[in-house]
Amino acid sequence: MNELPDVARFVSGLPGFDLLDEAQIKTAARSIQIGYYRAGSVVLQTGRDNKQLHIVRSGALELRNVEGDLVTRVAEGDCFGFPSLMNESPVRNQSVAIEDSLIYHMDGTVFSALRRSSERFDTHFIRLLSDRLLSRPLPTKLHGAGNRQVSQLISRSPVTIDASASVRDAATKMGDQRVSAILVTDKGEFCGIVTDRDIRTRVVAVGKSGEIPVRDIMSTNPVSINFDALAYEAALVMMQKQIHHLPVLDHGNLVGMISRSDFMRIETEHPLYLVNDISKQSSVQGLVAVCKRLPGLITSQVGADANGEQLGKFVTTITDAITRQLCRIGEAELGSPPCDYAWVALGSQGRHEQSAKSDQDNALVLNDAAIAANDEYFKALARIVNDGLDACGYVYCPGDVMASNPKWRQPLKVWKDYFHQWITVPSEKALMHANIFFDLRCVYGNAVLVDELKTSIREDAKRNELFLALMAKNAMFFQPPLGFFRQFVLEKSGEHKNTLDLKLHGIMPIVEIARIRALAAGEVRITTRNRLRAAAKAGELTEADASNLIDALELIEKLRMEHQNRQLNAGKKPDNHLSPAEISPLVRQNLKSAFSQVSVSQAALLNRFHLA
Amino acid sequence: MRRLWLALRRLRAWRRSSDPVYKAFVERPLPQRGTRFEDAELVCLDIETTGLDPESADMLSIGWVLIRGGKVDLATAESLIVRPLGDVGHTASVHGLTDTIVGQGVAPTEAMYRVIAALTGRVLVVHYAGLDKNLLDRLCRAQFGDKLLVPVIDTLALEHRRTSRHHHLDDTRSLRLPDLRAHYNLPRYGGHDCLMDAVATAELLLAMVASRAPDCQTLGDLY
Repeated sequence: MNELPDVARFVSGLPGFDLLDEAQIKTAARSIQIGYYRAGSVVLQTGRDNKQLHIVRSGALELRNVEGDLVTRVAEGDCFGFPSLMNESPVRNQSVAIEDSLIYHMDGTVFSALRRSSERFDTHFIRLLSDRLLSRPLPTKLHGAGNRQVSQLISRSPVTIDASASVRDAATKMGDQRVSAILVTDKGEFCGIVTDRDIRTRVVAVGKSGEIPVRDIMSTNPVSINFDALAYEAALVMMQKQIHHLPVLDHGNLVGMISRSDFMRIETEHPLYLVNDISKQSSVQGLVAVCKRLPGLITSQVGADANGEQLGKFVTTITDAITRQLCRIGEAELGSPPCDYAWVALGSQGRHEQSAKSDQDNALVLNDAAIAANDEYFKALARIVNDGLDACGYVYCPGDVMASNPKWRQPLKVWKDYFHQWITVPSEKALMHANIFFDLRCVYGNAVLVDELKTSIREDAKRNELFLALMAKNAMFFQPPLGFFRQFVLEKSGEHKNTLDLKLHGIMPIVEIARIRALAAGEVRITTRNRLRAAAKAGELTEADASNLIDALELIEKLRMEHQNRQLNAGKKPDNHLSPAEISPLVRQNLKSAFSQVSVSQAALLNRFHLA
Repeated sequence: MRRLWLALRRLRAWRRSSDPVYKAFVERPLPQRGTRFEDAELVCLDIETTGLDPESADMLSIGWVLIRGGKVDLATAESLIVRPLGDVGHTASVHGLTDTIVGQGVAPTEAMYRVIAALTGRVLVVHYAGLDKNLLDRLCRAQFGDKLLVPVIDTLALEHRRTSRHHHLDDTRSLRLPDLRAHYNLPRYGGHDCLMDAVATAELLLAMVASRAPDCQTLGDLY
């Protein structure tokens, strides 16, 4: 007798312990002392000796280092205290119960004996140990190179030249200093930048003299970044602006310059690489091949602890690059376009909020000068880009919201009419369209066309409370679950039973609240976070509501990201269906509070339009 | 008062008894009421029986585990299958102990010796003394001439006292072991295993003590 069935069953299911046999499990179980800790009480104190392996049986704890930074959170089934036990060193991190917790304290000598008797068990804990030693406190921003400050990327003092110096002098200095761009100053004030390419295209190619002053060929008001910005922010700026050099300023003073190669130097699997490679492809097949690296990139970003906002931007930046390159490939094949046009990204791509699983939503806005005969060209262009995106993994929009659909390939004036109609004569279909089309962003071509359209939308929408009210009502269609444990939203379709659709019941309600509040505030901002902040600033939302919704969005996006990452790692197609078994009780609790925040905000939205 | 009464009864039992194990049990001084919970040794115990009447039910199995140093020490976990005097009866379907299994168990007298030895110098903890403690009293009286003279902590009574003292608490709440455990966010166990039930009772007591802190620090706060 003396069997402890429930204890043995729990222990044998723990990672590492699942490699042991029945007799070993029994020995391990009998060596356990069980302790109960109220939330807030300290389980392991920094600096103390530790002779036990600690296992969370129920509840949750936080581990913090001496500086007070959060190292990790542990919940049911997680071990802690193994670094000090295995290294026979004092405890490094203080562990504090954040919920009432039942802890199994396993005898350290028994644990050591198990490690000696099973090599695989030993390997498991050595790996766990090295993971923990490598992990720093959980960052709010990216790990690794992306989380460095821009100032750490600067490898040399800035190379500058006075605006009145000749182009020849500038070229000589650039050659001597082995730089591909030089910063231009006027009376010591930073005023422009000249690159190798500028000298080739603006001087040599057009037959100008090398004696003309640098001032004549420099790019004025160049984009710059502050020295304390994070490297990933600099990377994003360079990707979005399609530039290779970024001057770094400290309170307006030049302190250096970073180039794309500075990133290459420090990080091999960086999105910049991918964007760079995308822009070099001249065929759809080439793009498809490059896109194969996207899952790996997403995995590395998630592994690097990127948050939902960052990952959304990264993924969208890459989709944008692919879209642009497909437009270029199309233009190369079809010749110059007969008139100006703008390739417009809609939906999540428009909002910079794409995830690993995204289909395509896009449209073409043509110059009002376009004539019917021009459509032949744009039809062919749309076909190339839509097919290309599908081949690259952005499957065709199930609702046919794509530029290849003639309805969504129209001159600006028709687009203005569309929106005017949707807003002033709302119908169910109009509301459905509005949800996708209000998140529009020019990805390629003449952005002025899109700006003009947005201005007209904003004017129409702001004056039309009825339309906003209907949108608000429509936004109630998808509601978050009220409770996570007993009132779980199940899809009745059968395929995804017992799972929660994070997109429909978590992200979309927040996106819709943000869109409506921003429209009501007359804001054209496009990302959900910016819309919420702008709405708060305009008094449409309280600051607290806005920041709570942003936190909720952050959590849900993070869960989706990790969920999809697990699927990518397992070689599966990513989806939005989270199973509650995938997340710890603590996360469930957090998710539950995120959902209740969304519910409260949905109710407030109804109130706002007197619909409650 | 109760402690004094218990001490006197133990003195009398010591004088009357000739059994060395029982004599050693009643001879050992009782733990002081002021003993801190972390310094005390408590025996958490559970019995599977053939019925619910302590005057007639037989013991089928018994399990116990010690709380010491404020922790449930699983190295001290012990359980015994007990050979009943009658047959197992219809409750076999509940606890899974058949005549064949219990037939291989120890005699009830042997079980009582082991229980008495474990309880020497310690405090007994049960969930609902009405059944387990009364059953042990009966067996003890038959074997040694007096009931089981030991201080008892009853987790059910402890919770009941709290709910009736605080009228705002819902006193219709179930005081069954699994329900009380759920109330304290303790994990769900399979049930109907006397040793796991003993562990479950022990964990419940830890949770109750922790949640009553700082009003509950000594044994005297728990009797």
